[in-house]
Amino acid sequence: MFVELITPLMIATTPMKVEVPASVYDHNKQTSISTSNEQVAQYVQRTFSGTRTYLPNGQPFDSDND
Amino acid sequence: MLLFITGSRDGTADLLFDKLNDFAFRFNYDIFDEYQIIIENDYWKITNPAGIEISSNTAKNCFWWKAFNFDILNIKNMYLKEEIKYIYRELYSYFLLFKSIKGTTPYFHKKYGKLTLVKIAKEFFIVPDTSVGWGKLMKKTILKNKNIVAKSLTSGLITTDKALFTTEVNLEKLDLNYPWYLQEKIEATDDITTFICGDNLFTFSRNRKELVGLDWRNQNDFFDDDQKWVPYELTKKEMNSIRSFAKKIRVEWGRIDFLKSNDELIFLEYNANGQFFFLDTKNQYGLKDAVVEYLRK
Repeated sequence: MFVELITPLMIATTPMKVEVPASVYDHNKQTSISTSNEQVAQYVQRTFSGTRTYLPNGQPFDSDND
Repeated sequence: MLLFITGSRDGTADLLFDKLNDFAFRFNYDIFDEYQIIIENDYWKITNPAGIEISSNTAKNCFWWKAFNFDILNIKNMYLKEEIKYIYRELYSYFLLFKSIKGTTPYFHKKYGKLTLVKIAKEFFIVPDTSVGWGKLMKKTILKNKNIVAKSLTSGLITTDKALFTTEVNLEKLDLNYPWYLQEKIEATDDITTFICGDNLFTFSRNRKELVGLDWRNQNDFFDDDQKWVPYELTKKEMNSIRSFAKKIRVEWGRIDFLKSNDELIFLEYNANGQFFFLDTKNQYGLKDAVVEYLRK
Protein backbone atom coordinates (compact mmCIF):
# COMPACT_ATOMS: atom_id res chain seq x y z
CA MET A 1 0.00 0.00 0.00
CA PHE A 2 1.30 3.45 -0.89
CA VAL A 3 2.03 5.58 2.18
CA GLU A 4 2.43 9.30 1.67
CA LEU A 5 5.65 10.48 3.32
CA ILE A 6 5.59 13.48 5.59
CA THR A 7 7.19 16.74 4.47
CA PRO A 8 7.90 19.80 6.69
CA LEU A 9 5.01 21.62 5.03
CA MET A 10 2.57 18.91 6.05
CA ILE A 11 3.28 19.35 9.75
CA ALA A 12 3.60 23.14 9.70
CA THR A 13 0.96 25.12 11.52
CA THR A 14 -0.22 28.69 11.46
CA PRO A 15 1.42 30.77 14.19
CA MET A 16 -0.73 32.82 16.48
CA LYS A 17 -1.71 36.16 15.03
CA VAL A 18 -2.80 39.30 16.76
CA GLU A 19 -4.66 42.26 15.44
CA VAL A 20 -2.33 45.20 15.77
CA PRO A 21 -4.25 48.44 16.29
CA ALA A 22 -3.74 51.26 13.85
CA SER A 23 -0.99 53.46 15.18
CA VAL A 24 1.29 56.33 14.40
CA TYR A 25 4.86 56.66 15.52
CA ASP A 26 5.53 59.57 17.86
CA HIS A 27 9.07 60.88 17.36
CA ASN A 28 8.90 62.95 20.56
CA LYS A 29 8.14 59.97 22.78
CA GLN A 30 9.90 57.54 20.42
CA THR A 31 7.04 55.07 20.78
CA SER A 32 4.04 53.99 18.73
CA ILE A 33 0.76 55.54 19.76
CA SER A 34 -2.50 53.97 18.64
CA THR A 35 -5.00 56.18 16.92
CA SER A 36 -7.12 55.93 20.09
CA ASN A 37 -4.18 57.65 21.81
CA GLU A 38 -2.98 54.75 23.97
CA GLN A 39 0.47 53.31 23.90
CA VAL A 40 0.37 50.34 21.53
CA ALA A 41 2.28 48.06 23.86
CA GLN A 42 0.88 47.76 27.37
CA TYR A 43 1.95 45.57 30.20
CA VAL A 44 -1.11 43.81 31.40
CA GLN A 45 -3.28 43.18 28.42
CA ARG A 46 -0.94 42.97 25.54
CA THR A 47 2.50 43.55 24.21
CA PHE A 48 1.80 43.85 20.54
CA SER A 49 4.78 42.63 18.62
CA GLY A 50 6.33 41.92 21.97
CA THR A 51 7.25 38.39 21.16
CA ARG A 52 7.15 38.43 17.41
CA THR A 53 7.05 40.93 14.66
CA TYR A 54 3.98 41.34 12.56
CA LEU A 55 2.87 43.19 9.52
CA PRO A 56 0.24 45.83 10.29
CA ASN A 57 -2.45 43.26 9.40
CA GLY A 58 -1.18 40.89 12.07
CA GLN A 59 0.58 38.47 9.76
CA PRO A 60 3.81 37.20 11.29
CA PHE A 61 6.70 38.36 9.18
CA ASP A 62 9.66 37.11 10.95
CA SER A 63 12.26 34.40 11.03
CA ASP A 64 12.84 34.90 14.71
CA ASN A 65 10.30 33.13 16.84
CA ASP A 66 12.17 33.40 20.07
CA MET B 1 23.68 58.18 24.67
CA LEU B 2 22.41 54.83 23.39
CA LEU B 3 21.60 54.20 19.73
CA PHE B 4 18.64 51.80 19.76
CA ILE B 5 18.12 50.15 16.38
CA THR B 6 14.73 48.51 15.90
CA GLY B 7 11.42 48.83 14.04
CA SER B 8 8.72 51.41 14.70
CA ARG B 9 6.09 48.73 15.46
CA ASP B 10 8.16 46.87 18.01
CA GLY B 11 6.19 46.57 21.25
CA THR B 12 9.21 45.75 23.38
CA ALA B 13 10.96 48.91 22.29
CA ASP B 14 7.77 50.87 23.02
CA LEU B 15 7.66 49.51 26.56
CA LEU B 16 11.29 50.29 27.19
CA PHE B 17 11.19 53.81 25.86
CA ASP B 18 9.09 55.24 28.65
CA LYS B 19 12.28 54.81 30.69
CA LEU B 20 14.85 55.35 27.94
CA ASN B 21 13.55 58.36 26.09
CA ASP B 22 15.89 60.81 27.82
CA PHE B 23 18.86 58.61 27.16
CA ALA B 24 18.39 56.73 23.90
CA PHE B 25 17.85 57.52 20.25
CA ARG B 26 15.48 55.09 18.55
CA PHE B 27 16.42 54.52 14.93
CA ASN B 28 13.65 52.49 13.28
CA TYR B 29 14.73 50.84 10.08
CA ASP B 30 11.22 50.50 8.67
CA ILE B 31 10.74 54.30 8.67
CA PHE B 32 14.32 55.21 7.81
CA ASP B 33 13.11 57.95 5.45
CA GLU B 34 11.70 59.96 8.36
CA TYR B 35 15.21 60.51 9.75
CA GLN B 36 18.11 62.53 8.44
CA ILE B 37 21.56 61.04 8.58
CA ILE B 38 25.09 61.91 7.59
CA ILE B 39 28.14 59.67 7.98
CA GLU B 40 31.60 60.99 7.21
CA ASN B 41 35.11 59.74 7.86
CA ASP B 42 35.37 61.15 11.35
CA TYR B 43 31.82 62.07 12.24
CA TRP B 44 28.22 60.92 11.95
CA LYS B 45 24.88 62.33 13.04
CA ILE B 46 21.22 61.26 12.92
CA THR B 47 18.22 63.47 13.69
CA ASN B 48 14.55 62.61 13.95
CA PRO B 49 11.63 64.87 12.97
CA ALA B 50 11.12 65.93 16.62
CA GLY B 51 14.65 67.32 16.78
CA ILE B 52 16.13 64.52 18.90
CA GLU B 53 19.63 63.77 17.71
CA ILE B 54 22.57 61.49 18.24
CA SER B 55 26.07 61.78 16.86
CA SER B 56 29.48 60.20 17.09
CA ASN B 57 30.19 62.79 19.78
CA THR B 58 27.26 61.83 22.03
CA ALA B 59 26.84 58.12 21.31
CA LYS B 60 28.36 55.60 23.71
CA ASN B 61 26.59 52.30 23.01
CA CYS B 62 24.41 50.63 20.43
CA PHE B 63 21.66 48.07 21.01
CA TRP B 64 20.17 46.27 18.01
CA TRP B 65 16.83 44.87 19.06
CA LYS B 66 14.97 42.27 17.06
CA ALA B 67 18.21 41.65 15.42
CA PHE B 68 17.28 39.58 12.45
CA ASN B 69 14.32 41.36 11.06
CA PHE B 70 15.37 43.45 8.11
CA ASP B 71 12.38 41.96 6.29
CA ILE B 72 10.11 44.66 7.67
CA LEU B 73 11.96 47.15 5.46
CA ASN B 74 9.03 47.55 3.11
CA ILE B 75 10.98 48.74 0.10
CA LYS B 76 10.32 47.25 -3.32
CA ASN B 77 13.44 48.77 -4.85
CA MET B 78 16.11 46.15 -4.10
CA TYR B 79 18.99 48.55 -4.69
CA LEU B 80 17.61 51.02 -2.17
CA LYS B 81 16.89 48.26 0.34
CA GLU B 82 20.42 46.90 0.17
CA GLU B 83 21.95 50.38 0.46
CA ILE B 84 19.87 51.15 3.57
CA LYS B 85 20.78 47.82 5.17
CA TYR B 86 24.42 48.53 4.46
CA ILE B 87 24.25 51.88 6.23
CA TYR B 88 22.66 50.34 9.34
CA ARG B 89 25.36 47.67 9.42
CA GLU B 90 28.08 50.27 9.02
CA LEU B 91 26.72 52.25 11.94
CA TYR B 92 26.65 49.11 14.04
CA SER B 93 30.22 48.25 13.02
CA TYR B 94 31.30 51.68 14.19
CA PHE B 95 30.13 50.79 17.69
CA LEU B 96 31.76 47.37 17.55
CA LEU B 97 35.10 48.91 16.66
CA PHE B 98 35.15 52.32 18.31
CA LYS B 99 32.51 52.32 21.09
CA SER B 100 30.61 49.39 22.56
CA ILE B 101 27.49 47.36 21.97
CA LYS B 102 24.75 46.12 24.25
CA GLY B 103 22.97 42.83 23.70
CA THR B 104 24.14 40.47 20.99
CA THR B 105 25.16 41.16 17.43
CA PRO B 106 22.53 40.89 14.67
CA TYR B 107 24.51 38.10 13.05
CA PHE B 108 25.23 36.06 16.18
CA HIS B 109 23.39 32.97 14.94
CA LYS B 110 25.26 33.04 11.65
CA LYS B 111 28.39 32.28 13.64
CA TYR B 112 26.80 30.11 16.31
CA GLY B 113 23.94 28.10 14.84
CA LYS B 114 21.72 25.73 16.81
CA LEU B 115 23.93 22.69 16.20
CA THR B 116 27.11 24.47 17.23
CA LEU B 117 25.43 25.77 20.36
CA VAL B 118 24.19 22.32 21.36
CA LYS B 119 27.71 21.01 20.89
CA ILE B 120 29.09 23.74 23.15
CA ALA B 121 26.27 23.33 25.66
CA LYS B 122 27.10 19.64 26.04
CA GLU B 123 30.08 20.71 28.14
CA PHE B 124 27.75 22.26 30.74
CA PHE B 125 24.33 20.62 30.44
CA ILE B 126 22.55 17.47 29.41
CA VAL B 127 21.57 17.93 25.76
CA PRO B 128 19.14 15.90 23.66
CA ASP B 129 20.53 13.64 20.93
CA THR B 130 20.25 15.62 17.74
CA SER B 131 20.43 14.67 14.09
CA VAL B 132 20.24 16.94 11.05
CA GLY B 133 20.35 15.99 7.40
CA TRP B 134 18.61 14.49 4.44
CA GLY B 135 18.88 11.42 2.26
CA LYS B 136 19.46 7.77 3.12
CA LEU B 137 22.18 8.54 5.69
CA MET B 138 19.45 9.86 7.96
CA LYS B 139 17.97 6.34 8.19
CA LYS B 140 21.01 5.41 10.26
CA THR B 141 20.58 8.27 12.70
CA ILE B 142 21.31 7.70 16.39
CA LEU B 143 17.64 8.61 16.91
CA LYS B 144 16.26 5.68 14.94
CA ASN B 145 14.96 3.73 17.91
CA LYS B 146 13.83 6.74 19.91
CA ASN B 147 10.75 8.90 20.08
CA ILE B 148 11.67 11.99 18.09
CA VAL B 149 10.53 15.50 17.36
CA ALA B 150 11.03 17.62 14.26
CA LYS B 151 12.01 21.25 14.67
CA SER B 152 13.04 24.11 12.45
CA LEU B 153 16.61 25.37 12.30
CA THR B 154 15.62 28.78 11.03
CA SER B 155 12.14 29.17 12.54
CA GLY B 156 11.34 30.67 9.17
CA LEU B 157 7.88 30.66 7.68
CA ILE B 158 7.39 27.63 5.44
CA THR B 159 4.71 29.31 3.40
CA THR B 160 3.37 32.81 3.80
CA ASP B 161 1.56 31.92 6.99
CA LYS B 162 2.88 28.63 8.36
CA ALA B 163 5.82 27.66 10.50
CA LEU B 164 7.17 24.38 11.84
CA PHE B 165 6.90 24.23 15.60
CA THR B 166 8.26 21.29 17.58
CA THR B 167 6.23 18.29 16.46
CA GLU B 168 6.52 14.59 17.27
CA VAL B 169 7.24 12.58 14.14
CA ASN B 170 7.94 9.00 13.09
CA LEU B 171 11.29 8.63 11.33
CA GLU B 172 9.94 5.89 9.07
CA LYS B 173 7.30 8.23 7.71
CA LEU B 174 9.50 11.24 6.95
CA ASP B 175 10.26 12.23 3.38
CA LEU B 176 14.04 12.26 3.61
CA ASN B 177 14.37 14.27 0.41
CA TYR B 178 13.80 17.24 2.70
CA PRO B 179 16.30 18.46 5.28
CA TRP B 180 15.19 17.53 8.81
CA TYR B 181 16.27 18.79 12.21
CA LEU B 182 15.41 15.97 14.59
CA GLN B 183 15.87 15.58 18.31
CA GLU B 184 14.99 12.89 20.81
CA LYS B 185 11.70 13.66 22.48
CA ILE B 186 12.17 14.60 26.12
CA GLU B 187 9.40 13.74 28.54
CA ALA B 188 9.41 16.89 30.62
CA THR B 189 7.31 18.37 33.37
CA ASP B 190 8.24 22.00 32.80
CA ASP B 191 9.71 24.44 30.33
CA ILE B 192 12.46 26.46 31.94
CA THR B 193 13.90 29.60 30.44
CA THR B 194 16.71 31.83 31.67
CA PHE B 195 17.00 35.42 30.53
CA ILE B 196 20.57 36.67 30.71
CA CYS B 197 20.81 40.44 31.20
CA GLY B 198 24.30 41.62 32.05
CA ASP B 199 25.21 40.03 35.38
CA ASN B 200 21.60 39.06 36.11
CA LEU B 201 19.97 35.71 35.44
CA PHE B 202 16.17 35.65 35.48
CA THR B 203 14.79 32.14 35.36
CA PHE B 204 11.16 31.15 34.92
CA SER B 205 9.28 27.89 34.57
CA ARG B 206 6.07 26.98 32.87
CA ASN B 207 4.22 23.79 33.63
CA ARG B 208 3.64 21.66 30.54
CA LYS B 209 0.49 20.02 31.87
CA GLU B 210 -1.85 22.32 29.99
CA LEU B 211 0.31 22.63 26.93
CA VAL B 212 -1.45 21.95 23.64
CA GLY B 213 1.14 20.25 21.44
CA LEU B 214 4.81 20.33 22.40
CA ASP B 215 5.85 23.92 21.83
CA TRP B 216 4.91 26.79 24.18
CA ARG B 217 5.69 29.24 21.39
CA ASN B 218 2.56 28.25 19.57
CA GLN B 219 0.17 28.55 22.50
CA ASN B 220 -2.61 31.03 22.07
CA ASP B 221 -2.12 32.66 25.45
CA PHE B 222 0.65 35.22 25.03
CA PHE B 223 -1.68 37.99 26.02
CA ASP B 224 -3.65 36.34 28.80
CA ASP B 225 -3.74 38.15 32.11
CA ASP B 226 -2.86 34.88 33.77
CA GLN B 227 0.88 34.63 34.40
CA LYS B 228 1.91 31.34 32.79
CA TRP B 229 5.59 31.70 33.64
CA VAL B 230 6.61 31.77 37.30
CA PRO B 231 10.03 32.44 38.82
CA TYR B 232 12.21 29.37 39.13
CA GLU B 233 15.08 29.01 41.54
CA LEU B 234 18.23 27.65 39.96
CA THR B 235 20.65 25.54 41.95
CA LYS B 236 24.14 26.91 42.39
CA LYS B 237 25.42 24.30 39.96
CA GLU B 238 22.83 25.24 37.33
CA MET B 239 23.67 28.90 37.78
CA ASN B 240 27.37 28.20 37.33
CA SER B 241 26.69 26.13 34.23
CA ILE B 242 24.65 28.94 32.67
CA ARG B 243 27.31 31.53 33.46
CA SER B 244 30.05 29.26 32.10
CA PHE B 245 28.10 28.62 28.91
CA ALA B 246 27.47 32.35 28.43
CA LYS B 247 31.14 33.07 29.01
CA LYS B 248 32.17 30.41 26.52
CA ILE B 249 30.01 31.90 23.75
CA ARG B 250 30.90 35.43 24.94
CA VAL B 251 27.44 36.79 25.60
CA GLU B 252 25.89 38.83 28.39
CA TRP B 253 22.43 38.89 26.85
CA GLY B 254 19.94 36.38 25.50
CA ARG B 255 17.68 33.58 26.62
CA ILE B 256 18.37 29.90 27.13
CA ASP B 257 15.52 27.42 26.85
CA PHE B 258 15.55 24.19 28.81
CA LEU B 259 13.23 21.34 29.60
CA LYS B 260 13.03 20.00 33.12
CA SER B 261 13.04 16.25 33.23
CA ASN B 262 13.68 14.12 36.32
CA ASP B 263 14.85 17.24 38.15
CA GLU B 264 17.53 17.89 35.54
CA LEU B 265 17.72 20.80 33.11
CA ILE B 266 17.98 19.66 29.50
CA PHE B 267 19.44 22.34 27.24
CA LEU B 268 17.36 23.08 24.16
CA GLU B 269 18.63 26.29 22.63
CA TYR B 270 20.07 29.73 23.12
CA ASN B 271 18.23 32.70 21.59
CA ALA B 272 20.53 35.64 20.96
CA ASN B 273 17.73 38.18 20.65
CA GLY B 274 16.45 37.22 24.08
CA GLN B 275 12.81 38.24 24.13
CA PHE B 276 11.84 38.78 27.77
CA PHE B 277 8.63 40.78 28.24
CA PHE B 278 6.37 37.73 28.03
CA LEU B 279 8.02 36.42 31.22
CA ASP B 280 7.03 39.45 33.27
CA THR B 281 4.07 41.05 31.57
CA LYS B 282 2.91 42.80 34.75
CA ASN B 283 6.38 44.03 35.67
CA GLN B 284 6.33 42.04 38.91
CA TYR B 285 9.81 40.61 38.79
CA GLY B 286 11.90 43.56 37.73
CA LEU B 287 12.90 42.46 34.25
CA LYS B 288 12.14 45.81 32.68
CA ASP B 289 14.10 47.69 35.34
CA ALA B 290 17.03 45.34 34.92
CA VAL B 291 17.02 45.80 31.15
CA VAL B 292 16.81 49.59 31.47
CA GLU B 293 19.65 49.57 33.97
CA TYR B 294 21.73 47.33 31.73
CA LEU B 295 21.15 49.58 28.72
CA ARG B 296 21.92 52.71 30.71
CA LYS B 297 25.12 51.37 32.23
